[in-house]
Amino acid sequence: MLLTIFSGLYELISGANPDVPNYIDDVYDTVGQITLIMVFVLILIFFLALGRWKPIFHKLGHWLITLILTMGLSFIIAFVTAKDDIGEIDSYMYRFSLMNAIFAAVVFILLSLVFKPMSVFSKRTPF
Amino acid sequence: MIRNTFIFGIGGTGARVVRALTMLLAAGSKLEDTDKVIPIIIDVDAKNADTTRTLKALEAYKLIRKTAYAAQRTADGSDLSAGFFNTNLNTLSSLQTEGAEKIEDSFQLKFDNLETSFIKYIDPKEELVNDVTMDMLRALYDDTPSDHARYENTELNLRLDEGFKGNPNIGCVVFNGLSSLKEYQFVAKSINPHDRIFIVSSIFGGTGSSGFPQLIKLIKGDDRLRDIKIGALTVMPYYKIEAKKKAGGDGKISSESFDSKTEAALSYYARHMAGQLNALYHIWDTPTKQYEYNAGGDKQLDPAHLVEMIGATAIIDFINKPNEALGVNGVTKYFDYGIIQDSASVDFRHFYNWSGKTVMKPLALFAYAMKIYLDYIPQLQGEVFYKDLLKDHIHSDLFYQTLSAFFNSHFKGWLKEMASNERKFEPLQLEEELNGFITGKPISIKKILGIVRDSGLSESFITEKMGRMEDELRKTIPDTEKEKRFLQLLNQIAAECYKVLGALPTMTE
Repeated sequence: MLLTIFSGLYELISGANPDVPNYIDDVYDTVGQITLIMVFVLILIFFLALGRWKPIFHKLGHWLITLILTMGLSFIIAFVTAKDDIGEIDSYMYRFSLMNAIFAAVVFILLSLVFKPMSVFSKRTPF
Repeated sequence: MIRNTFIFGIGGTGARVVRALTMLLAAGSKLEDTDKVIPIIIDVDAKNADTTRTLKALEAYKLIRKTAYAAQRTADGSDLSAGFFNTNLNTLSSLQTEGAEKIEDSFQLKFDNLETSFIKYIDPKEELVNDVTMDMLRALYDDTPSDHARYENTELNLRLDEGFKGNPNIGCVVFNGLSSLKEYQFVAKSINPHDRIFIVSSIFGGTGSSGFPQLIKLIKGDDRLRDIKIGALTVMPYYKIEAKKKAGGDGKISSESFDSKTEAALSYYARHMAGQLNALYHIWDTPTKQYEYNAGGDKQLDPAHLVEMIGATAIIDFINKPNEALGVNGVTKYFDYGIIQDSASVDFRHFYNWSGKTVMKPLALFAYAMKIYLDYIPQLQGEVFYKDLLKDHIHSDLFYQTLSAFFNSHFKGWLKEMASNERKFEPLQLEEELNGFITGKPISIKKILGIVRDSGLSESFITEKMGRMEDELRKTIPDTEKEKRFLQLLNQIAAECYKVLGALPTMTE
């Protein structure tokens, strides 16, 4: 089920790559799941762990840093996973990694809206 | 039984004591068994800056309380709530008085027909009647004309709307007309026999010393109010006035006569008023500070003094006394006030337990709230509580404008004036950070191996506590009542600061 979702999603946002079947067989699924887990963990850390502990990392600036971190990690996850699976770097890999970063950012923003009411100090972050 | 208390503040000193009372009640000093407290300022000097300032503070108090105070009532209607602005300080017109003519919504009782000289007031048609002759009036009163070099002595030509300039002999004539005022008739009809009355006046001026006995006479002359519990505060000299006349000044008031006026008035009170009151509070201090000479009007803005604040505690004491403690009618109980140690500079350490608990602790709490509101909150604009409660409102809503004015001009101004007066009352270091805010009890920063373990009342402490408190408060106070939530937040953060302080400093610390 997840495999189908991620394949369709990644092919939709970064285009299909029928020349390298590894993407549809393994990479999309693995990258999608790791990315989701990673975003989820960062959201939990930002809004529930830090956001309920102390007002030390809870403002818009902090949220933007976390967003950029999420995008950076997502790019690295996609790139490294694809490179390990395929064995060589191709131009699609960059596009896919970039699109994964954007996908992660969108998920991060959406999850922020869901989790911010549960926070104490980040209730009005990002807005 | 729940009752109302009517507080008459007569003259400039009366207004200044009522101003101090406003600050103490804003701070949350609790009044027992009290529904409403109705301050009534009586001052014929329409432009007196002391009176104007008190009226502004009362108006601000009323608006803040109406908007942001959440009362918790029992089945019998008594208010269980505590905290800032918990006393229902209100105007006469807030009372539902049957059969009385509607009056202006004001804390001031205004006299009519005083925009004239004393002679025209007593003889408006210039047709002296019966045995009264000009010679007789001249024998009783000075009639130096206004264009004369010694005009400062005049009595008959004194303009009444500028006050009585320390002439109680004129004041008592004018106060004889008090009963005909629409506002006084409203008061008389509004007071119930189980209510209480408190009168604040000075004994060394003109307005207070003449108004006080007249008011007692009027109240006691009303059959319905004959047995009502009455308390009074008589303020004796505690400051001096510049002996030298200022250029352009009229020099009508002199502090050289304060002692003789006091002595004369005390003799009168002893002969004619003994037993008329249930409680009479006296307060005075050795006058050291010499105030600038101002004969009333918008220039009479005397700085607040410790004596006025202690005078205000007399009102709290009287209201909180059970009926049994006030004794039987016909017998006056007398009260003085003392501090633990004589000192030119007084702070929290100088007060006994009753004052500490009833007045000083609330004062410290309110001061914490003021400090946080004025100095810390503007730095915390990124915090949830600021965005939720203040961001779109603090600079535009009347409530926040009034609250800012109350903290900044009224309360802080009052504290500053007392801190710069003599004798000095300086319980707070207003310019210090919160850790050094309470005089005589700084909060130390705890370190282990050079690393801060406990930073006391730091900005991060305030930020964290206010964030958590707002998170809890939003569960019980809806967004439609944000002002109530904010006032509650101020109460809670002040209490949290006090918890870190532990207790007010004492002489042994």
